[in-house]
Amino acid sequence: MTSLSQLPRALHPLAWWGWAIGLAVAASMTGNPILLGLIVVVVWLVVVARRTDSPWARAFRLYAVLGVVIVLVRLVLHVLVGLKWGTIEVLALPRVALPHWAAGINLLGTVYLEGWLAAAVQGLQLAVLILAIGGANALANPKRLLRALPHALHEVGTAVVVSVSVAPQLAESVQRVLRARLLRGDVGRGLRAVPRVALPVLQDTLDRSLLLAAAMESRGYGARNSDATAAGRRLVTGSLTLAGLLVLAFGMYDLLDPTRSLSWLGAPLVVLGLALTVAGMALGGREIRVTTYRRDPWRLPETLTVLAGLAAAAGMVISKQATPDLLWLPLQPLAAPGLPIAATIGILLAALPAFVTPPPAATGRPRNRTPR
Amino acid sequence: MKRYLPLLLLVGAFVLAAPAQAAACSGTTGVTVVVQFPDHTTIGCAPGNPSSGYAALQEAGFSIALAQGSGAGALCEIDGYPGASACHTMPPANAYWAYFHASRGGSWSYSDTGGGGYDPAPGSVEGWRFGGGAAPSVPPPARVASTPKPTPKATPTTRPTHTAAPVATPSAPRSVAATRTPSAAPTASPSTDVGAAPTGPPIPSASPGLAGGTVQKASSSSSNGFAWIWGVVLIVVLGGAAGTTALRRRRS
Amino acid sequence: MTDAMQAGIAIELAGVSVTYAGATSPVLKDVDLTIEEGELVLVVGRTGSGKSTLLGALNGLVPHFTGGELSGSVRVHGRNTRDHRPRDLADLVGVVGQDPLAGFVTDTVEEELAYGMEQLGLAPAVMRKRVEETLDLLGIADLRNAPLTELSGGQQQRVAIGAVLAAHPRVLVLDEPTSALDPTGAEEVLAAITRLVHDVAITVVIAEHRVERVLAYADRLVHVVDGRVESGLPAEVMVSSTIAPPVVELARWAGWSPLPMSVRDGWRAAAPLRAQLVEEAAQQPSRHPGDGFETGRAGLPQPAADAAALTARKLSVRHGDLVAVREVGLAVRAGEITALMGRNGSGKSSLLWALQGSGTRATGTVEIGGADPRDLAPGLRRTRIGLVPQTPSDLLYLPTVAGECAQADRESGLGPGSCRQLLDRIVPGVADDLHPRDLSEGQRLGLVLAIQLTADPQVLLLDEPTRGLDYQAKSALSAVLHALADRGRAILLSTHDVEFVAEASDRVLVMADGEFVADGPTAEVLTASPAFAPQVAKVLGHGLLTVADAAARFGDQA
Repeated sequence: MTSLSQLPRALHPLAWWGWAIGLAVAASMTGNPILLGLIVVVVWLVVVARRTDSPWARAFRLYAVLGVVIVLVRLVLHVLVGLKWGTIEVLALPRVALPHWAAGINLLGTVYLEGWLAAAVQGLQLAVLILAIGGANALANPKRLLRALPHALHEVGTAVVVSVSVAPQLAESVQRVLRARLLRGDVGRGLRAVPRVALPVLQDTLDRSLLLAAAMESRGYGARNSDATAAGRRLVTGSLTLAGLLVLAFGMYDLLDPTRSLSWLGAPLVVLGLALTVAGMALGGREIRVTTYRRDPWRLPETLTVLAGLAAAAGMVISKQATPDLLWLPLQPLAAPGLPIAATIGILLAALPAFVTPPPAATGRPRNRTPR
Repeated sequence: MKRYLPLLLLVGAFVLAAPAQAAACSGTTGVTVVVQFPDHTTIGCAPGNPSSGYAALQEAGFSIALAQGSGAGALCEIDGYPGASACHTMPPANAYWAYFHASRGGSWSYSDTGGGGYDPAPGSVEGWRFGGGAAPSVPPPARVASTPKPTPKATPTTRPTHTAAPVATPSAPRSVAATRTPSAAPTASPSTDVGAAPTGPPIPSASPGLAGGTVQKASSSSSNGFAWIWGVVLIVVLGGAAGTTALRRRRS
Repeated sequence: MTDAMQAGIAIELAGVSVTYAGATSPVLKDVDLTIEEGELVLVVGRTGSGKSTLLGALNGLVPHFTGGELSGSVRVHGRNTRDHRPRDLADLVGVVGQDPLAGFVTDTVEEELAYGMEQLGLAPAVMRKRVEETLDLLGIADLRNAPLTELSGGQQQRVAIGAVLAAHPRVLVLDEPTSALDPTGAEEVLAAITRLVHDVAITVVIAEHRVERVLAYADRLVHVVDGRVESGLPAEVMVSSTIAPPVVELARWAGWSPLPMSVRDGWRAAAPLRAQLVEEAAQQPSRHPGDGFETGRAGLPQPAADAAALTARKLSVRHGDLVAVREVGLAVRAGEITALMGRNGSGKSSLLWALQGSGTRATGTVEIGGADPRDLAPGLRRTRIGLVPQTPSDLLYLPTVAGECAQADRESGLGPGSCRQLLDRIVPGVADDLHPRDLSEGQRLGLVLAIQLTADPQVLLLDEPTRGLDYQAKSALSAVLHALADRGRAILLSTHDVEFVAEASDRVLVMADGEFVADGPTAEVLTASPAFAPQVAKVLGHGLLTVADAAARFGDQA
């Protein structure tokens, strides 16, 4: 297996996203804390084994913190406004009567263990979903992911990259202006202070955007293969893509809404919409002359990584067919969670990328770094 | 005792699995509960002042199950319908138990709260209909006897089979069945009027545990055993591997 | 015009006039200019003379991107910018702006180098090869995976140049590539540019305020005055140029011909003057005991040590883990102008903000007139100590100059007109109804200075006030600061500009890594290291820092 070489390199970003989406799908199908816990440790293992030391990789910790916060918030919200149910009383609180217009909200009230656990499991499920996506974000440079997009989406990708880099600049600009206000002895707060901060920041942002736009224009951004039929082809491209998206939207609606009578139409519509969109994008992509520098290769480890993520989802689907009750923490009556075999094996397989993928390449940092 | 209550309720649920025939409350107290299944309608009475819509359902003798998972807390089953592990998610928008309020003889209004958060007034009517949100096709029973009951299902012949079963198991669910039976009796005949109700046997108070008591088929979940221990072991092993990897990478 | 005649011509402007929308007079008037292939052309001119418009016209940004009307024709290697938008000229002309960070599209060095080529649709194999070449050419190979925001200013500017070079343009246009850089960063960039000119034979058009840095390398000088263009050999154009580096000013004063373009030329031409200085020093050893340590401002009474207007003790500033300023002690005396020098990121700005009291401070005390400015309300604080920040426009938020001035009067509790009077003294003739954004750099600095001076602080701090100022604006600023110092105000300014320090300051502090590494009279500190020495000092030595110094010393003989 020469292609399973352990020479350090960056894995294709789409492979990591495929893996993470597989795990996220698995997490979304289960409310079994054991399975959710397994997914958490699998994501953690793969991330610590294969992340780089880039800034987005360091952000994984933030996702973990976010996950914990979500569970805690869910627990607190259950006490505050949740629908309390169950038999085992945990916390006896008086129920606050709310006026008619706030009907449907149970403010406080006695908290039962079952309801609280159900809330915790729900929170955990969401937290694990976010952690899986955070794992993909930590393992794959999101900007490289955009580079893997088809050519027709190149301009959308550029817009995303630019806007992502504008956000920290905007924050810095606000900070600078706020500080500068002190120099004029201006400590006013409230509405009157808004233009004093907003105007300089806005002007600063506009200036920067213009500079960036000028730089991109000078470097050939947006240039197209000049063609006499360009206008006609653009019309075809546009209508194909638009029609495709519309059909796709109808199809999805049909597919997802079970109350629709024509539900058999959904799947064909989705396929047709996808086909139209792909055709439009392929046609549009031919007009754009950009090429991609160092396109990430797709080799065996990439395929294995995606398959590992799919295994988790597939295991969950099999368990759902075979032993649906094991996928949830039994609450009525309360009991220990079970361990569905297929789902467990699937999640364990998802840990494989920690071993079969090549380790990440070291990132170079400037030796004489000067903070600005 | 409390811990076993759900199990007992479960037994009761199986006991009452056949469509129950009951009737609206008589008198100004009690909450009348109308439950419309796709193929039949059952009417019961929750005596006294039930604390919530769910409590009214249970006290009127229906067994209910609440959804787990993403729809936790939502009502998913009444008397085991629709069943088939429907309780793992939020019920879909075209097949759920829609919840209505009405006054006696009034008209149905769609509830803007869930059954757990609504406290029905004594003497009012609660309606549940399975489907896409349509109101029960049966009008809320009127209090006055002059209106003949449109529920011919309540035939005296069926009732004894119901009352007979609970007698065998003198436990909490049985008291539920018992409450239903006396209140059903007077309304069975069209001529009975409201004033006749108090003449029935005294209404036994519902067991205190019922407020939260819900019932679910415990078929497969009871066979878990100690499998979860293996899960915990796996989590610890993988977590340990991740921790050591993290430490090793930090040192290098 | 035939192809044969075009062979050696890179850029040709014929009868070019540019008028921006809403403007009454053209920015460029009837410009005829031919630039040959392989030349290094230096464009000089005062702020607002039309330099940037001229550079923008070279790749069609003017008028395609900026708007306005361009008459005449601009041809780049035979391609008319009228028919070709900037994006269609990207393979011919590479443009690098003042602020490299603002023009970066990606986030790492390697990807930024490839971006332009990706847009041109080059084959991946070609791109790969060219990226490696460019990394080597600019000496940034060890930075290939580095995030762009973590580079120093000089490195960023070199990456920006590399990013356009990788696309193999035949003309490189640089608009003030070193204006934001410290001397070391500027040297890195200029060395890279000169190597390009010699190795790659690319045509380079470069605009630069600090002419002294580039003049020596220029093949040709284009002088822009009020939209008109004069071009020729550097030595010829410099005779009458409105912008001239100190070595040229010295030569003009001394009457040397031909004019020296570099310190090396100047050193040779100055031999007689230096001989005279040596002779004088030998004759009167006692009259100049501190020879070489005289300050640029002769006759100023040395302020007594107890006249300290501002005293700081053990001052530290932290930004997270980074210690920006480490336990420094500092006394700024009334009536003295102190310059704070040091490379980018050495802690100058942090120190100024901490002294003013609006910035963060980890440890230490600051005292002005018996009070710590940090403990005062911002409104009261600015009557004790004022600060003009690095981007003065952050302070401006009203639509007109008059509005800003009136607001400043209110903030200071003075009658209307006080700020306006100050403004007229600093930069005369700024119209009341102008928007502050439309002012030139010098005028905007003047406006902010006037606003801060309205409160009449005892101590004035200026963070990089010379950024983007031309020689005239700098002398005007220097005069204003001197007038303030003469009224007994203490002034502390940070700058990279050695020539400005030589002209304006009495005392120099050099910061490195958050600590002071040198502190002393201007002449002493500036002549101690070649990196900080102004041109006149390099040419004449003997503690003479500016042309004015030389004129004062040789006044009678020359």
